[in-house]
Amino acid sequence: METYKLTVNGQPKEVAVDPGTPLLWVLREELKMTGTKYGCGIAACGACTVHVAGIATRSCVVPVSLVGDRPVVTIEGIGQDPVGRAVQDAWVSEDVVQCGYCQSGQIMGAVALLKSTPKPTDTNIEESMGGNICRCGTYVRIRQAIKSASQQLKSGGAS
Amino acid sequence: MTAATNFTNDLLSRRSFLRVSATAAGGLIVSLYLDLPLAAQEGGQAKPKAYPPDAFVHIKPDGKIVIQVNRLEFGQGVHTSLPMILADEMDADWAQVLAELAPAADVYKDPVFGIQMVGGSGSIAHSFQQYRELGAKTRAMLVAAAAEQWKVTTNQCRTEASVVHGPGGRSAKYADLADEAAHMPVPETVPLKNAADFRLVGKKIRRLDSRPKCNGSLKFGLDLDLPGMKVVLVAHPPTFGASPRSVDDKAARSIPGVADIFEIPTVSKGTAVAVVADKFWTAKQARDRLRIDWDLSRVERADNSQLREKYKELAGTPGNVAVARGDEKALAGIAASNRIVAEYEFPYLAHSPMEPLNTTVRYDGDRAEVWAGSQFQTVDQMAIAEILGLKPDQITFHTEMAGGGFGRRATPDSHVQREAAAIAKRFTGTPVKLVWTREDDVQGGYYRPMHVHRVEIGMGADGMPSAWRHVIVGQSIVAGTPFASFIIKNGVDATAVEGTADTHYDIPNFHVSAHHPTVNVPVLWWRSVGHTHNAFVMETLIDELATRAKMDPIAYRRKLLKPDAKKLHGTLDLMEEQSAAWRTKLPAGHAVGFSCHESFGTGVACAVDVSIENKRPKIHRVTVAVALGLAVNPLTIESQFQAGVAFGVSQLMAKGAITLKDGYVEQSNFDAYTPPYIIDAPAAVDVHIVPSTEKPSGCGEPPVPVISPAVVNALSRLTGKRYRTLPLVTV
Amino acid sequence: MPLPGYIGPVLSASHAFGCDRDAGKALNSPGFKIVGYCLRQARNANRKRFTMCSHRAMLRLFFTILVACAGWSVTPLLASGQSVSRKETATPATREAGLVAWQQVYSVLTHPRCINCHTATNYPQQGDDRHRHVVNVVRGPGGKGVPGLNCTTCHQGANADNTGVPGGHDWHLAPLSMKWQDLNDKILSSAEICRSLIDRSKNHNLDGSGLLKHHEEEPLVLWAFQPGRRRDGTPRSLPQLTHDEFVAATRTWVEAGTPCPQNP
Repeated sequence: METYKLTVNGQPKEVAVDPGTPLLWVLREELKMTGTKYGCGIAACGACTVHVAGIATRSCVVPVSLVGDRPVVTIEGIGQDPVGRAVQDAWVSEDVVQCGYCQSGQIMGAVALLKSTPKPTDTNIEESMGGNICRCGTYVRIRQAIKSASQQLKSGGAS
Repeated sequence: MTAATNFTNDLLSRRSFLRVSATAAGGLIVSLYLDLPLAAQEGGQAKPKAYPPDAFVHIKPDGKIVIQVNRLEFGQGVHTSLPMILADEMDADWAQVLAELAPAADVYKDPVFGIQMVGGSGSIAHSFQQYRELGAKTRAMLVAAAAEQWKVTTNQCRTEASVVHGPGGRSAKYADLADEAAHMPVPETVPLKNAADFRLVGKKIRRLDSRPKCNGSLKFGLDLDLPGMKVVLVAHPPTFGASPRSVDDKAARSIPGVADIFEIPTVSKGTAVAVVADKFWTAKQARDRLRIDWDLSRVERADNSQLREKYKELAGTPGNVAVARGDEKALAGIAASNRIVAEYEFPYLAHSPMEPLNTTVRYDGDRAEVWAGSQFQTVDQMAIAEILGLKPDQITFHTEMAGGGFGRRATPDSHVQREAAAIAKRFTGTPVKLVWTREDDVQGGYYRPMHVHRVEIGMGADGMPSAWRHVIVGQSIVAGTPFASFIIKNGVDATAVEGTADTHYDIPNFHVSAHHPTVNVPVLWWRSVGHTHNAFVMETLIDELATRAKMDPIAYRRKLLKPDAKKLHGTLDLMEEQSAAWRTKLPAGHAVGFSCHESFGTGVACAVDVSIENKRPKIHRVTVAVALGLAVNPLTIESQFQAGVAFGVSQLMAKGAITLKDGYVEQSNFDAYTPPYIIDAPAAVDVHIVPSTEKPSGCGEPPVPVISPAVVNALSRLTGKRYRTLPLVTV
Repeated sequence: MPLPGYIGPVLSASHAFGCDRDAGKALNSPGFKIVGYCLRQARNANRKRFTMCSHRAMLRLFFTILVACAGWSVTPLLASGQSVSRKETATPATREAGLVAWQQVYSVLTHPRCINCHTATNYPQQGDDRHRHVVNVVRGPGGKGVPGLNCTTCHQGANADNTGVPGGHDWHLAPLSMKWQDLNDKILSSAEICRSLIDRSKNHNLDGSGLLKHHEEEPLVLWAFQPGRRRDGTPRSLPQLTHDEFVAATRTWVEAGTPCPQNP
């Protein structure tokens, strides 16, 4: 057991866990933030995606010991960010979700994409979202929602 | 306050009872009782049972209207569309409507299937009338309450957005009428709206569950956290039905947080090892440290290469007869040059819903509480009761939102729930959450069965098939389950031949038979079930025949379809029209592929634009036409089809097979059994609905069967090759 | 840095003995009497090695002897504190030693731990079979993936042995100019990679000493020699040389004037 100080969604948190515990399980079981999902445990589906120092990160494979002092943002906190909020709104208005289980990760990926690429092409979307599985298959609407969020942000709708 | 009546549902002709009551906290609760002719009740007097928590509608004093959904929501959209149906007839203010997933109870059983379930794309098909009548009766009572207050006739009142309007500009909110309404007699019959009067049905209505699914606040079954809860992982035998010879759990037990490790029986008559811990990661670490010597000597060790040989051999012999139409000898009279012999192979497929399987059980001695994202609530409830030595009504069964399912959460043997119950029984008073990891799920069986099809076709002078002999080999999904008695006929599992035996193509001499070998691999329905392979075989062969006949593939299908296959004719016409613009100017290197198929009462036709990129099919565009009667929520239908065709691409993925070697499943996670990613899925899907006011049919499964044959038909145009083995390892 | 230091690690490592069981069998077969060079097996006694142990032992002995002999001839050059220079100062003897050393360097560069991120394609590879990286990982404009799917989306600053994901500082792909494979994932020849490596228009303008420093210090080069464990808990396979040996070989090659084999 080791004690780790984390910053999650701007809040300081302290957990005492085995150093090898993946960030995913620290979030879900220690901090009770279950919006970040367990899908595969091997970074093959993206359901566990959070932002670590702004980088979309597969929390299921990152031991808490390697997080360091980098701030963590989860689906519960991404709405505080204008891009995050725009993406969530676009997801709702485009009626993207079906079962919804993968969508936390999809949204976190889309936010990372839009923050660096405000006007993504289809190729940008395919590459950036390329590692997130939606088993329901909502990909067409994911594309639409990313484009609509991009449009919304461009027009200052989510400033 | 209770009043009861009964009404006849055109789908049911079974006795149903409606109960209305005022709640202690105020408001109106409408409950529906169904007395289903289940074995237990047959011969007995059909009396309503006491169902305390079974309200369908609850009008709260604050105006909120809570509508219970009698089925699992796992993506398909019933959590929105069923409340829409009820709210429409009730003239409820949609902005005030909330949906809740109903717990397990008789009253929530599927009106047709007689168990509480999601399956067979039947949610809307079976509950449309039920939810309409519930809504209409609730409305009628609210109107009656207003009319009494105002001393007017009900005919003088109209309703809109949760308000009753009366003569002289009087109006009253539903919430304010609720207590009075609860005293009103329940009408025997109520008029239902004409389609033209629908305010919600037929409109594109967004989902009610989007926001919480987009901000992380929605709790799925796996997210459940109860005080004192334990998390359990189970080490299952590597080969189905095996047991440990010895278990060394010293290292596992030494991990802090491990509560206990013990053996439990599996449904497949083997033994597994349960690891109970404070948290998931603890349980995972401990399970990884178990040293188990598995005894595989007494179990059949299924092996793909052997199964393949065996199946191919069986396919060469006639099986149990599913269809025998016309002259069986007709084929022999056709010249070899006018015959096609085709052999198809399909692998085992795992459903792999995104939310790994899980169930939480708390056993309290004389009762128990269960939380599960189940497609089979009442079946699972009974199984848990059996394990715990309780009666089903001693089990409070909460339906949890589920992250996908595709059939995987509809297990006739309730194997996950039985496991969870067996473990919980040792921890009285402690909630126990059983989690199947992704690896457990991929390796844990309950697959779409492996199949071999052998088809011999003889063509007439007109290029149309005049004789067709079709042998299907694959495990029966329902053999050995309570479903066997009504699904297996003449030794043929209807779910194995659906899509072929009941084809709408008019083939004069048509013979379909099936073999159902027994294999030590548990199998299950996988979204669209037998249509997954049957549609592939039928639609690729029809395309091949059209090519040989040098006919347009759409025209060929139209010619071969029976005239009364109205839904398919309608979709072919609509698809042809809607895809014409892009089909006629395809870029070089692209080809179009078609298919049409009817499943679960819904007709679908599609056209796909495909090229080959990086040695894989790239699906640029899909145009889908669908005929499913009245479109209750066109937005749901559009979404289901857009995403459902992407799900269907699973069958084509290079790593889209579960294979067994010497009894071991060779894949364990998404790196080796890979569902479609965004680049594999169609880049654009436009969905067109054939207008209709007829009874609605489902849209959950029908998108799946059409896509893979259409893509492969396009590939065949590009490469000249025929693709008869899935998954599509090479193009 | 005094010259004997470069031989030191190579020879001093030779005190370690032993291979794993399978490799041991191979060593006992005729013609493979030299067991002393399967050194890493002893160092990581519980790690399993699968192949190449005996082959590696042979190569390493041959190399060590040659380097040990050839090395003396360049001693004055380095001992005098001059930076290593190109072939104008190399004698025929050092060129021969340099080419031998280069083959050793080449064996490391083309090991999956190194070459998997020196692809010519739009994607990295993984595994000893050098399969295309799963999960549709792409190179991205800077060789670091794309936003949403960066290398560091999974690969952290150190190996995550608990989850089987390797890591090192600033995980990324080598630039396309440093590709050591062709577009069909076929490994380029020794001569091709050598010429590419010393081409300052392709190698971030590194001279010999720069290359040596890169091999000595670059975190991702160091990672290749401490690649951590796979998801199933087994150790990832290692290049044929230890890091010290790799550096020594690079130094020899650099001191020999970075000679490259003739075509092909």
